[in-house]
Amino acid sequence: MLGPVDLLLGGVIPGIVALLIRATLHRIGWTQAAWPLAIASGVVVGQASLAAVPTVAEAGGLTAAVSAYFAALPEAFAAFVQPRQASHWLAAGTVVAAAATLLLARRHRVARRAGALLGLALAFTLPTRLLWGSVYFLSEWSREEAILRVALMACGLVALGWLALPRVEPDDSPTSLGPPTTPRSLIGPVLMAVVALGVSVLLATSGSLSYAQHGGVMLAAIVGATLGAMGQISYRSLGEHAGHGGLVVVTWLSGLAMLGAFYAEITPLNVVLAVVGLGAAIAAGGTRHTTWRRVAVCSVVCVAAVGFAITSSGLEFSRAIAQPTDNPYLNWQPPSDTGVE
Amino acid sequence: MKLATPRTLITASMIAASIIATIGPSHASAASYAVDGSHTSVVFSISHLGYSYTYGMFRKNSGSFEFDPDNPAACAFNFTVDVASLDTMDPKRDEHLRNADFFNAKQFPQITFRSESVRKTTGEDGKPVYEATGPLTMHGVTKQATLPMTFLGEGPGPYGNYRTGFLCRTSFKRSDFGMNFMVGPIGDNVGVTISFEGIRQ
Repeated sequence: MLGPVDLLLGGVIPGIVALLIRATLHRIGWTQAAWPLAIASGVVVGQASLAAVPTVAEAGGLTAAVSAYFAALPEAFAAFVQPRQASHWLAAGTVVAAAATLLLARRHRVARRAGALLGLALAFTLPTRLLWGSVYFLSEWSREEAILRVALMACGLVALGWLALPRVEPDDSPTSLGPPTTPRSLIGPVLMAVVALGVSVLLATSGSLSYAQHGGVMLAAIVGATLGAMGQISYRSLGEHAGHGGLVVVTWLSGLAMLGAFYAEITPLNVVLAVVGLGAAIAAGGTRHTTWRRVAVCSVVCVAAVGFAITSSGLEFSRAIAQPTDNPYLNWQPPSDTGVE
Repeated sequence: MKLATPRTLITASMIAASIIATIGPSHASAASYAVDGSHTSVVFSISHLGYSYTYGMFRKNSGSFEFDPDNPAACAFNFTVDVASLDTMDPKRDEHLRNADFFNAKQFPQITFRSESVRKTTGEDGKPVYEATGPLTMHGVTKQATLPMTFLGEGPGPYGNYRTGFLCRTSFKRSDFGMNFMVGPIGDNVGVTISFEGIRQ
């Protein structure tokens, strides 16, 4: 199903991009932007790279594969500017989420308000765009039902986004040296990676490997961005540890969960569990002043919610593929109106 | 000089608009047909691992066409296929094909074709072929396509209505329509056969 080319383009490349961007931004002292920009860049490049998989896989030899990859990228990026599929909107949403994070991490009140407005607009626009033109808007839902459902999804996104807000801490200062990466600072990213992996597994076992690859792209970006700051002593910037690029992760993974629920077969319960897991992961990341007790509880909730979701989805998937296949007429059903038995 | 009143201007504009509306692609000499879904088949085939071809069909479709055998410029073909009606005789596979990895039927519920020009040629078997060119939209992607409609026959049906039928055989690459999943193990080229009958209106 997934070959080495998929893993290279959808895993290694977004990871390396996120790593390089986070390490570079840390090195030049722009630590505020490091997390959100590293993850956003990683997932956007990763999604574009996935579009290049068919041409790269068909290319003979390394040189041809590299040429095919770079030849396919312009069209892939163009698809983000003029999205044709719902999944293409995730890239645009991610860029907006990164911009909102940068604004919200500033001390200036006007900037923070602008960031909040941008985030709110994104929360309402994302579900609308993902469902635009689909059977849900065209025929399955009434106008009132559509508005209600979009509003509910937007409220969920706002709640998750509020948890992920980069918060200004009293001891944040551009001149106070922060510690290098500590085990404590890794909890948030590790749990977010667990949720990204969980969403990927949910999608893969619920009818869409292509959406699952998008979850893998986020997983790679989180891992890359985390590794990019390893061992670096940085200045404590506003929102540096609190943000963890949370809004970007929320946008991408929530968007994927919506795609999985509406265009694949993720059950509503598993979507809720994934969202709970994501919220707990963000809450566990918290700030430098978050208590260990809260970190522990949130971590357990995150792992339990995601674990339960992927277990139930995996069992259902196993049941579905375990049907006997030695009967060639297994799936044949007589037309009900002919009386054939 | 007497100036035209607003009422005169409006009347003149409406007459001019009516004249303009009658100019342009005209199907006045062509007969109008509604596609008879009961005698229409939309069948596709695709390679599986290079070992065999899997066949499937779309059970629900609709359309209409204008047809004048001697005036291809007056001909036009319009089709709409309901993607969710896909059937390959394996429900689990159908479910996957309808999902986001392939057709994404809930996001892109229809495949549509609307001809913009028709050219008449002759097939290898001597039958007239009407090559209909126009936008084909599938999986959210619209591309110009030429569908060769081989004229099979026409005449009265058993219930008195007048029928005309065509056969269209063509192929295209699914990756051209953004359907890239598992290209390789599952073929990129998709063979399509559309046999349809229309009832003259």
